[in-house]
Amino acid sequence: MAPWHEVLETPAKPELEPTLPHFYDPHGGARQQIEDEIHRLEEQLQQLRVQRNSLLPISSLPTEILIRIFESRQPHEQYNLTKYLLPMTWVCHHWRIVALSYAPLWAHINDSNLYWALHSLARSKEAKLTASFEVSGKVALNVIDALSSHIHRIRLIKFEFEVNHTLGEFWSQPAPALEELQLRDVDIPIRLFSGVTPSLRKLILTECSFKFTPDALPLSNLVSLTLVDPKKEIPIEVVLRTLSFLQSLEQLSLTRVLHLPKSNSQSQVVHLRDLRNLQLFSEALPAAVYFLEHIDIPLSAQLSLRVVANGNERQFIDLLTGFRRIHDYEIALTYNRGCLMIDGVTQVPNSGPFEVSLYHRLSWTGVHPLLLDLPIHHLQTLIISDDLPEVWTSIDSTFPNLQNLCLRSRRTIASFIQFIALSATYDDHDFPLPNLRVLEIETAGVRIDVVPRNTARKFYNALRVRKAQGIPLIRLETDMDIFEFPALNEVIDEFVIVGYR
Amino acid sequence: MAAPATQQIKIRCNDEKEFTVDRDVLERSVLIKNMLEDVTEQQDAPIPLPNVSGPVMAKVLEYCTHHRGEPLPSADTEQSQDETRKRTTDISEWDQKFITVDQEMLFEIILAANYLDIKSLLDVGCKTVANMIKGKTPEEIRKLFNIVNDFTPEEEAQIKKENEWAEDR
Repeated sequence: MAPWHEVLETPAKPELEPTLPHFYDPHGGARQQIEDEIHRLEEQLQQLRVQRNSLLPISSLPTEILIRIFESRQPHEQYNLTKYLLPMTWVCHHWRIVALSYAPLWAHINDSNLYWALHSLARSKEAKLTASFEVSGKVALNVIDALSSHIHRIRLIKFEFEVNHTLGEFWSQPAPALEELQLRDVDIPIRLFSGVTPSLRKLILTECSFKFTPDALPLSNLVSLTLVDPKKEIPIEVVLRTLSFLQSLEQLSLTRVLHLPKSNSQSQVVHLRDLRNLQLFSEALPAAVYFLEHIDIPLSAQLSLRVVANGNERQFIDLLTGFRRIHDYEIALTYNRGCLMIDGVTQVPNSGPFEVSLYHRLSWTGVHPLLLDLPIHHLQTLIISDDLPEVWTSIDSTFPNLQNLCLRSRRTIASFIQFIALSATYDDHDFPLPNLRVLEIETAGVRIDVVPRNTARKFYNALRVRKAQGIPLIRLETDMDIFEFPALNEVIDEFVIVGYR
Repeated sequence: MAAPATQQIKIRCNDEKEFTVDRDVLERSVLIKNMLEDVTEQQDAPIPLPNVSGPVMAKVLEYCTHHRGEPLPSADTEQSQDETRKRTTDISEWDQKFITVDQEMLFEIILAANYLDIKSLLDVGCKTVANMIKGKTPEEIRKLFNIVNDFTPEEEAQIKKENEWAEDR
């Protein structure tokens, strides 16, 4: 590859200079006059074409709107220079002038073509740059090399490929305009950007190797930090100690980062007073508990936890009881094949409605004390995606405020219908789940033939009684006509059959 | 003090066409909203809108009526959302249907939205034009908007060179 300044100055095609001898030409002068006239007329024609174009409806749009149009792209699209931006500059004189004169339009460097990268750098003048590369390769590295002399104006860097030591110069320069840095699979050198990143607010490191200290990484002004699968284990004490320097942190996300301390050394509690969002994903439960016990975050902070519990229900209870503040938060639980996930945790005033999803086959006796430990009586929505037929035996006392019920398992659906049907056999019964208004039954097209017709009839009667008592089911949504009662819509305000018919 | 939501406001377009519209509908336009806030006493005279014609205003009001009650972008959110908003081309189904008009009307709506300062409508218009352009060759774009090639010979030469580099990927 030629040096970049040569590339920029490369002529389109080399032309051969004719070296013919001079000869007598009596009409040379007249011909020249005609040539000049043609040139003049061509210029005039071009001017007329420009004028004509300026009278088109699209030319009524002012420059700033034209730029806005040039800047539009699909949310998932990269800023594709050759497929989108360049054709705009090849349409007409006016569009070309507008596009070339608006520097920020050229400030997205994500093309591994060195020629275009250099053109973009030149055309972007002093606009703040975003540099984003998702593919590896020599050419991309050349482009990154060319970017080295523009680091002072890079706003965002996103490298999602293995970057080796050849980028030494790139990493060592101050990056005063850098606001966001996203790296994947990079061995991050110590004193990144010589420690000069006063504008850096967001850092995402995925599968990177790095030293997690304020001296090694540009952390001091961070507002958002995401660490995913660091290549080298970071002791939890180091995580906590380093976090104590990040006083402005509002968002923290850790995925497979936390490990229990090897010794009995006690860490100080870290105060993260500005934290608004904490996500712990795929973390070992004891390490997550240790971490949660050693951070002090505002009660208004949103928590999202997916914690590996290795099937140990005792650990789960420990987490809920050990992490005392859990009662301050809205909580959603997912229990899945030995993997406990606490998900979508947000604060609610005092205690309030929350959502529980039970995805795993659990014996009710195993879950019961667990659920009773939680403010379960506030539960308004319950989604059961796996077989849990025993759940109904004490549903009234456990879920008195349940309003929305979604069942996604054949056996659970059958047992629920049976449960409701049974309740209708007594005249003076209290109807179960008095607050239930919306029932969703999803079978994904699998026909339910486990409900005997007689039971289904009783279920229908129960709904009729319910309506007569003034507590009708407002909506029943199912993906197939499982009951075959055309009059079902008489006892339910809204009976919807969706999909999979 | 905020006026009652049902207050009716009169506007007059450049073709003398007048509309009487609920204040909250008209306040989708930041220009008109500011004008109304500046006027302390109730005025019976219609607000003159010299840059918008009746038929275009009718379309704009259709949009504003459909989107009435939706939160207007505040000054704080505007800046942060602006980057993302102007660089994406997703348009809701209703908006898409609404903006399916001939080119002349489309550009008129964009100009009116710009003048009246209705950011969301301006976005819909710009995104629609961007979608019309997307994936087309320069020649196809010219045909679409009835543009003729008006490049100078120097520009032609430069474009030819750029083309060669673009193809040489």
